[in-house]
Amino acid sequence: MMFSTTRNALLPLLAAATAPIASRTTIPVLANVLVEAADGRLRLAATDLDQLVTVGLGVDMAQPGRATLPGRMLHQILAKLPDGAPVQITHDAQAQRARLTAGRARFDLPTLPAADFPAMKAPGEGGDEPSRFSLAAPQLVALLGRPAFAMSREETRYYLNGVYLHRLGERLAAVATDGHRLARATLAAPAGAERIDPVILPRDTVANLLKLKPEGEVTIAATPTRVSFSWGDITLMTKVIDGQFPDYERVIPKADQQSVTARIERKPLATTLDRVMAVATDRTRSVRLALGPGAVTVSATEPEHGSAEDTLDLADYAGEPLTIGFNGRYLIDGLEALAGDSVTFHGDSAGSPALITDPDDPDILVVVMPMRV
Amino acid sequence: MDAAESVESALDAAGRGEVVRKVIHIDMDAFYASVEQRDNPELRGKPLAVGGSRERGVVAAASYEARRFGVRSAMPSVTARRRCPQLIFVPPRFDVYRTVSRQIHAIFAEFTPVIEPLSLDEAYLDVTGNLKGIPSATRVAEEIRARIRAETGLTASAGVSYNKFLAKLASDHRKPDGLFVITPREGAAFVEGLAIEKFHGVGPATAARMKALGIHTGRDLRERPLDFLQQHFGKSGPYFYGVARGIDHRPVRPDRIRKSIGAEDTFSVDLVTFEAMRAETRLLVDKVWRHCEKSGLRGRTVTLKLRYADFETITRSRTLPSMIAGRDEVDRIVEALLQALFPIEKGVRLLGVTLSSLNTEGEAESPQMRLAL
Repeated sequence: MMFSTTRNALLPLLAAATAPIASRTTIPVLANVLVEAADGRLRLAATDLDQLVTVGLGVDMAQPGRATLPGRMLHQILAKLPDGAPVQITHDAQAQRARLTAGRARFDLPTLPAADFPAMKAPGEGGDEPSRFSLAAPQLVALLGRPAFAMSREETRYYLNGVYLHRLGERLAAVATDGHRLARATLAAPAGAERIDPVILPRDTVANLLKLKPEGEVTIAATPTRVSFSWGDITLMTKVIDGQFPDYERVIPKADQQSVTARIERKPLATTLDRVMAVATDRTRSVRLALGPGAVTVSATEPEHGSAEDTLDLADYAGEPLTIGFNGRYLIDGLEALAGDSVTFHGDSAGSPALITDPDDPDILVVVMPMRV
Repeated sequence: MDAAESVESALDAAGRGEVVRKVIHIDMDAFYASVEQRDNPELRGKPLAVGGSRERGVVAAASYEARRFGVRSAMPSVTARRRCPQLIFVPPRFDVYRTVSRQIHAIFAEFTPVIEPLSLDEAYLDVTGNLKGIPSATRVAEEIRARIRAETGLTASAGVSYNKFLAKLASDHRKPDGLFVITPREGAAFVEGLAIEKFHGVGPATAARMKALGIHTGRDLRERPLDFLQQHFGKSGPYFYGVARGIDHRPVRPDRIRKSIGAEDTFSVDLVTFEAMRAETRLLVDKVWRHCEKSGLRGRTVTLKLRYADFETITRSRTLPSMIAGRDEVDRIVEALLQALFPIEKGVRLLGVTLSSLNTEGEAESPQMRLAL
């Protein structure tokens, strides 16, 4: 195998391709990136066995071939080459070594046979016909990215370690929860997504997808076990979490049945919470919200760290005054998932979940369970 | 067991007429059930069980009306309902029980700083040198009972004696709403006539073994020499030897803070299959969780202990970010820990499950509430 390209063409694609590579792995080939050159095109791929990223680009090709090269090392070398440097990579299959030359710099890297690189079946390959649909990249990023903060890290309820993508009437919905808070984003289901089976996208996949910053139109292919996202020359393919997402809809409070409704400026509330939490410990992060007509007072008291209080005006208030405790961090995360100038807070009691919505955007909601304070 | 330390020197000490301690054991009568009946007049005089009525539910406490039907705490709810079809199930309100428990503790604290709580509703008090200078321990016990009744509207039984073992036996003797005193002169005689099952530290398994050895009463126990008891009951031998003579030098330990809640079992035949070990761990989890419910304690760390046939002992544990809320979650973690050990090549002679990183403050669950997912 031998091909030539430039550092600038290869680097961003290699960065994308190596996204799934874990910092430590016990299977050597998983630390490598698969490099395939054929028909004037280069294909790079890396996997952690659960997800696979492939990228493609056109190169000047002298000789086709395939090999796997150490992913991180290759990425670092390219990053340290001068801007715009031409790069040539030659693989000697016999010696199992690859040589990268750029100007007068020369790097010899060990390789592993391409045959060792684990194959991963694309959605629908040798199985059910996948649902196929496309979304503009910003839409997809909003759909999966906005609820992502609520994904769980607890291994025992592994089925919460991701974003639940499913049909909700005429809409496509993405939900994440860690049992303390929940967030849901929706959008009008695009053509082709009518019969999508519900899937749980693993947290690493969601994180990588957001990191890869998709552009243009993203094509999604989904079966009950595998999903792929493709745009430009990049494809991210993933297995889904094999589990049952809980019936989450019943924990979302009905907005019209809550005894308290308040409209609060979103960013000032987040700033106020952050300020008051300066005295809260990392362990509890508990804050108290005293809501009433005209104002909300945010306070925190930590026996050994002092106390803090701040008051914020609020516009519309309906209901009796309500004092309710929260993990302040959860509230801030939730507020950041919303985009509008103000939010509507719906609450019922100090022991029932609070619903936070955007009065101008019905496509996002956040539910936060209170804390005893 | 602490009593094992030096039975002989204890006997000597008693013979030398050292200061006789005054120990009170206070035990609230049908605590959880009584609180529920106090707070809801409709439940008074009726057979009541606190606990889950569902399939896997367990009775946490039974009112005296229910006990008449043979309903006992730790009994599966299904069995309880079979014994008493009109049994009313009430979900536990641990917050309330803890509040009452703190009230009672505050009353104890007025009389003595030497308080050893056993659970929310039970404690040992050493009133040898009490704060009010009351010479008679019986008077102290009477005053405490009266104060508990006046301040909480609940009844407590008290046992007064010169050690923990006898004080606990005494409180049980006139239950409910009773007071019983065992003086140093009566101690040995009181124990003589006692059925072996009544001894603290003698569970169903030990009772069966004692009976097989011809030990049915305290008198039978007293007739067995120390080396015989040590041979058959190991570490517990000296304790049994002592208490059979009314001697128990375990101190009332005021600052005893529980670090963990655990249960383990040694099997008569080594276990080899995952299924068999799984079945045993379920029982252990049940046992641990029952204790959690009784004490109001919760933990974040689950540890699985295994002892192989060759006595090699290993432990595996997992710590969660927040307090574990339910039995099933403990069970799932234990299953995952066990699963990770397979394939196991050696037989397993002992399994243990322990919950630690406890909320020793008595604050039950984490203040963060959970969504009802």
